[in-house]
Amino acid sequence: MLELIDVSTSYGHVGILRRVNLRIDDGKIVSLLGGNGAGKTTTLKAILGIVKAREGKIRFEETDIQNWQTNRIIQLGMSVVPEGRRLFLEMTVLDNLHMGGMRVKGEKELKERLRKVFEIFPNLENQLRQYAGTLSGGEQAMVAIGRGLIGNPKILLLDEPSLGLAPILVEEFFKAIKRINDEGTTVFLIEQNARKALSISTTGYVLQKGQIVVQGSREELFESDLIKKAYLRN
Amino acid sequence: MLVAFLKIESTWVLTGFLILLCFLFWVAKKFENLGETTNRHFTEHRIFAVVFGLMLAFVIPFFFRANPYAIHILIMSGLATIMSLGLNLQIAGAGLPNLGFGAFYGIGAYTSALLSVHYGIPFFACIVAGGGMAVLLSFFSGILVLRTTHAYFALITMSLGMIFYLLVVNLEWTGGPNGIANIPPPSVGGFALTSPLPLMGTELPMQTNFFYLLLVFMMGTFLIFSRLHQSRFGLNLNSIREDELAASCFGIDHVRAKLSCYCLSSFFAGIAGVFYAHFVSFIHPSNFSIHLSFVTLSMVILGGMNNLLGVTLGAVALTLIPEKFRAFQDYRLVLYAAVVIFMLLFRPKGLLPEKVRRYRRKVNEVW
Repeated sequence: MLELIDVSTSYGHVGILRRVNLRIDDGKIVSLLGGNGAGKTTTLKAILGIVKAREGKIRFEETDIQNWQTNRIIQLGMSVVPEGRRLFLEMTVLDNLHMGGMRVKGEKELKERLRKVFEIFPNLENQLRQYAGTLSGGEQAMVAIGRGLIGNPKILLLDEPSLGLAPILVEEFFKAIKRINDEGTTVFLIEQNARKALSISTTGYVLQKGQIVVQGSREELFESDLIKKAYLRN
Repeated sequence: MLVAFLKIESTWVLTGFLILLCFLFWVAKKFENLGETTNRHFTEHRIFAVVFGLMLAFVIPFFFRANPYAIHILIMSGLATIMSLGLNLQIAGAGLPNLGFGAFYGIGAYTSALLSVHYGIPFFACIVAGGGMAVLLSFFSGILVLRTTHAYFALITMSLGMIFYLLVVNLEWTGGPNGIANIPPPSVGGFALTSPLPLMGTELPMQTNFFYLLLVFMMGTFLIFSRLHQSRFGLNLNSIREDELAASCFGIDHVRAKLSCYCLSSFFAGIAGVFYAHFVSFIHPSNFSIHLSFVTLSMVILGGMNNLLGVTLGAVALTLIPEKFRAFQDYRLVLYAAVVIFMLLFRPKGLLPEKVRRYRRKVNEVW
């Protein structure tokens, strides 16, 4: 569904991504792992068109999108949960959720989509009229994912959704993401929490200094020495 | 109370009134919920409020039969309301701090004045022309200016406002420092609006004609801005205000949204300007200086960001109060500055807070 082919980006003269190749198939959960500064968020920005790819192609369902404007790319059927949530803090939860529903036409469909979101995150139902800025971190994360889901996206892109969350909540979130995937949404997950991310993924990639150093199925990655040493050491 | 206020002449009573206002304000601050409660009441009893307001507005000129200047002031506050509503959409809706908004008011006024004085174009055509010119110029300036944000945007729009003023003062064909005089009044079906209005047995002063016409404009303006605020467009603008990058991550073309907002508000400023020109029949560059933009800004800040009723209150208050305090004429500018500083320090959300967005029944009935 989504492919990055030899993508390179840079900020000015500083190269960030070097010939990155990624492939996300329909219905799968794909993880992108890596330490700080590896270029994971830049990869996401490249997909979304926030950062322009200097070289290479980005292909979403047969369409080349590497030079498109962000909002057009989104309208093709992607939803994103940005790093740090980036909620609209001075707007209510309902407004935030509504924002994700660009593709939702009409209030009836909105209601349907809201119901779907509340199945996964029941707590949100009670907080609809609250200002998003007044919620706790965990609740905000739920709103952020809900906002991504409302538009019924073909692919959901998550950038470190578990960042800053209490460990109990992290467990809940990964369960929720698995559930979202079970219901048919493809998921692209960028994470530092390698163990948790791999536990629900089908395939994974590891990014270091802008290059993919390891890739493969979940089992292969669990076995790989690199992963074991760097990320899974107890 | 409003009627009484308008009839007061003595300076001491006015000072006392001002002190009373401050006290009321202090009380309002103590009861934070006052704003929310007011909002709720106005939303629930919306229809009643509108009908009552209209009836009241219709009746007001009868009270001021002998005092046409009072009606004049009310008309000015109505124009200020239209301006403030437009600026509100930009500042509070989209987060664009526009300090040069008065320029579009001036563009509307000058376009219409020039057209009607030199070419005899009738009023209602002038409205379209004035509004249209404002939109055109805001479109072109917007393309340049909307790349900037926040403080830079404020600075650039402020200079746009100044540029407009300098142009109309110095160019010959805009009348230069003499302004434009003898702007013909509007006429509806042969009835020129500068003749007194015979209604219900009494002769009302000619300002009444303009007053009623303005009421129609104001109702239209209110309706449009209210629908905009509740709509998807309003939601998109709010999200741009919050976080432009995140907004584009949710499919919003922020360039187009900002430009639409900018041009739309300018249209209303232009219309208000056209009305003003034909009402006072003489316009002068000093009416459209940077001062006007700041005054409008303080009305929006005072009234409440993104609350239509609050903005109206702010506009009316900041038009009426300086008029009555002519004794403090020299300190008028100080008044506006003081209001802005005071509001930003103690109640940045304004008199009335932003209304929580209503969703229509289908969503509301469950939640």
